[in-house]
Amino acid sequence: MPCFAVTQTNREEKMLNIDCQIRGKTDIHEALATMTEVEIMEGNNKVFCDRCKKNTDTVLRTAISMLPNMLILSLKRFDLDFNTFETVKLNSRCAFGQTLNMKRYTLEGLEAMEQSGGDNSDENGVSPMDTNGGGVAAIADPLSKLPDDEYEYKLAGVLVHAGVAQGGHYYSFIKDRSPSSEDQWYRFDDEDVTPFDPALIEVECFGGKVKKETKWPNGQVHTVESEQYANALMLFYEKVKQTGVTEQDPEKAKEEAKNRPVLKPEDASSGYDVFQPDVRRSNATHRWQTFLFDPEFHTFLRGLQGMCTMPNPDDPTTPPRVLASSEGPCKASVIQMLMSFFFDIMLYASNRPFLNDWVGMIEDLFSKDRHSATAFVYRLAAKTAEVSPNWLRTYLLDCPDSAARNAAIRIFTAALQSCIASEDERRKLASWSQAFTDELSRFGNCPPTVLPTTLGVDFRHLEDPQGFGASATSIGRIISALNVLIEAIPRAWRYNPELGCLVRNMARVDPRDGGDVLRIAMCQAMMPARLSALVAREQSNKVVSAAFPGASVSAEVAETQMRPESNPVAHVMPIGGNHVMTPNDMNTRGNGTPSPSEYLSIFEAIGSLANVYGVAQVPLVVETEETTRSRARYNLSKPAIAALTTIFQESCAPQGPGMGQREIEMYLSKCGVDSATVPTQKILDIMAKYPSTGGNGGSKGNYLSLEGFLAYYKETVQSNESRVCLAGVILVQCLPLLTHFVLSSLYRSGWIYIYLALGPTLRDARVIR
Amino acid sequence: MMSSENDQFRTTSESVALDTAHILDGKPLNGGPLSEFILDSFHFFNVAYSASEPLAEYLLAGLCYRRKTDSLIVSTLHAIYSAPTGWGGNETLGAAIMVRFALVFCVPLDFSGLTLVFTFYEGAESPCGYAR
Repeated sequence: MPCFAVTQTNREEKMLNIDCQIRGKTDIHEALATMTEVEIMEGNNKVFCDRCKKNTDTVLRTAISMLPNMLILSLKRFDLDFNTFETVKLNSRCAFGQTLNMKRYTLEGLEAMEQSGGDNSDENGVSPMDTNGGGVAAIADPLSKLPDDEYEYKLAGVLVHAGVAQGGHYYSFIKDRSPSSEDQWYRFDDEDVTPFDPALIEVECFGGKVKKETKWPNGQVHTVESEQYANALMLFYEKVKQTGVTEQDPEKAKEEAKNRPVLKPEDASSGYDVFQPDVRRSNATHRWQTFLFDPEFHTFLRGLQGMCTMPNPDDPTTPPRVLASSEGPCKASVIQMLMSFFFDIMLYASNRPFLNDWVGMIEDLFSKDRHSATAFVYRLAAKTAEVSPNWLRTYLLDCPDSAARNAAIRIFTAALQSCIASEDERRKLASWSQAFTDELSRFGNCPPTVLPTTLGVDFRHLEDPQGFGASATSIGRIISALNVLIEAIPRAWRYNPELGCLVRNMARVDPRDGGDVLRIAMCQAMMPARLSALVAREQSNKVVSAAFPGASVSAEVAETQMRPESNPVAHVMPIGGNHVMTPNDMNTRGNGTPSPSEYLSIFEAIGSLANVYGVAQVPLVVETEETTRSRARYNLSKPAIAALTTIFQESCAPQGPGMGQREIEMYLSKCGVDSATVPTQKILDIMAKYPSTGGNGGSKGNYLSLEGFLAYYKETVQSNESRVCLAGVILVQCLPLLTHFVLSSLYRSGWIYIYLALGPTLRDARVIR
Repeated sequence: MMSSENDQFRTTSESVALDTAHILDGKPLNGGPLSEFILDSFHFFNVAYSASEPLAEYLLAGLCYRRKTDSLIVSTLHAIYSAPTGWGGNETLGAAIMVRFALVFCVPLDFSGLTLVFTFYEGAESPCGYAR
């Protein structure tokens, strides 16, 4: 027997937020409507009726009985994939408006609709997303008798998740609702708070797919559709007409107050007091940062730096004016302050428009003023005793920004290069090398034991910062610090190919400027063996593995030991804007094994340390600011010009002023071009078009001149294919012994090895036969 | 000046070997303590070969010069033996061929039993290997 007594039972539950199922839903109203859909409980699902005392067919429905002042909607974007049983993130589009009327999802609203015989669908044709009213149709809306202002909400904030189910980044868009504000929105992203245009909410928060168009110079448009991985996860709506204690019945409020337990003063805290010190500290930090990152302040410091490198007007050959010895105290303070600013502030800035200028000026300063360079190296070495302020560690191990790392490396190199040129520093470093050898001799030959990274107690004074001005060597201490870093590198691999660059640069210092002393010191400190352990890891020789357990740890083990701050996930998401993630962004776990190309700088460092100096990597072409038909123009780099000049001189006719027709044919043959396929007319055209020499009174000569040879290459490098060929030509010609290279394998992203021609210095270029 | 037309071009490996010999000028490379053990690891040269073939050749030639290389030869042969077939093993075989064949037979060597010793003959005009 069915229960003819239609009863209604309400069971109230307090909710912190409303979970909205968004799978298959296009907007927030569809998701909320799903929540209030009726569910028929029949058959085995019948519900026990208190009146009939038996299980009865029941209609189950969820509705909101009381609306809060701050309504939190949680979009269920994390879901289980039943095929793979992995958590996935739904990036589908879910729209929401700046305003939200909750009337139709409340108990009153649903009852009103039932009484009018309708359901909660939009049968009157008015979309809930339409906030402009429903026109004539709205007149028939049964909900119209309920006052709108009781149910009206305005969007106050959006919490965004950018990333995938396994990892990502959270940030928020929040409206400033203080009385004096004009509804300004801000983006809160970790410590960055920036103004935000609410018109971009759709782009930044709705999710779905985005089409990106790339227009090629030939007019072809390439469209790529990709998912937006940054989308709203929680919506915060604030009630337009707030309901508070003041609007309660005064009698009822009194009654509630009576029954409320007496609170201790500390219990009655709003919580604000607890956060006050943090807020004060954050505000102070913000004020400091605003000042330190202010462009005007940067301009001022750049000007100060410029003064440091300005030549002495009285005598340009003497040290820069501000750095003159008579202004010693000023000099030291200014340089010290500028270096602190550069390494501790500027390299941390997100916007560094003049970074190259800064680095160039500091390099210039150090190359001109050895005292400043030495003072900097002393400071750099002294800082290795600490952890956080240690610039070597910061920029060779921890820094996730490659531009900052490269800038630091350039400055370290310039300072070390200038410092080692000092006779005194060379002498101290030679003593340090001998001490390292003596230290190692205690371990015997081929010891299967851990070898030290720094000097032992007996020789510690040789790298003690206190004695830098006397017998201790700052460069020795830096080499020791590099040894320590090499042992730690496998646990922070992603950020430190530049360590190899620094070692390589140090090993390439001109022998006439103390380069040999530096190289020997690094070899005595076993840097080649340490670096080889870093490459071969667990497959190193067992003696090497035992000697350098940190460097030779396997990639898999290193990954499990990665320190949290060096977790590659930490920086993969960009700070600004919605971002189409690349597979590299997402595949951040499980790729602890570096790719071979990431070892390139290490191999160059080993080669340089071993004195195989044909391993210089130089750009052959440089991009200029000029453009031709929207395409960048290229120039030959200085090393390329030097190499081509050598090639030209090698290829000139005997006793001839340049390359004649026969020499050009032979040259092409050497370059791998079959001279039979090159018509004579083409060679004559080249000679006619480009500057030539050796003519018999005519306007054009019979020999292609050096200018003509370079002009030919300058023109041909404008196309990518030619640049590849040029790379091959230079390689083959600089070392004519290398004649059968496969060109394509040598050309890597516009860089190429120019062997031998670049020896320790260009003037040592020679050709071996 | 331009070389004569009758000059025979040398192979890459020959060029690298001669070039390195010229740079090192008769003295074995001094990379400091334990640097001789770098030669024991074929994996090291395998990675170097993948990073940059010319650079790997220079490094190998430099490190082999006047050094015993039997352990490298053994580890290379082992790598060839255990390399996967097909595409998967191409990289390993490429590096192995560079190590085992190209440079081994370009660099003049002193073959004695199972021990291969790479040496350059002073004044040698072209690199050559011989078995004893």
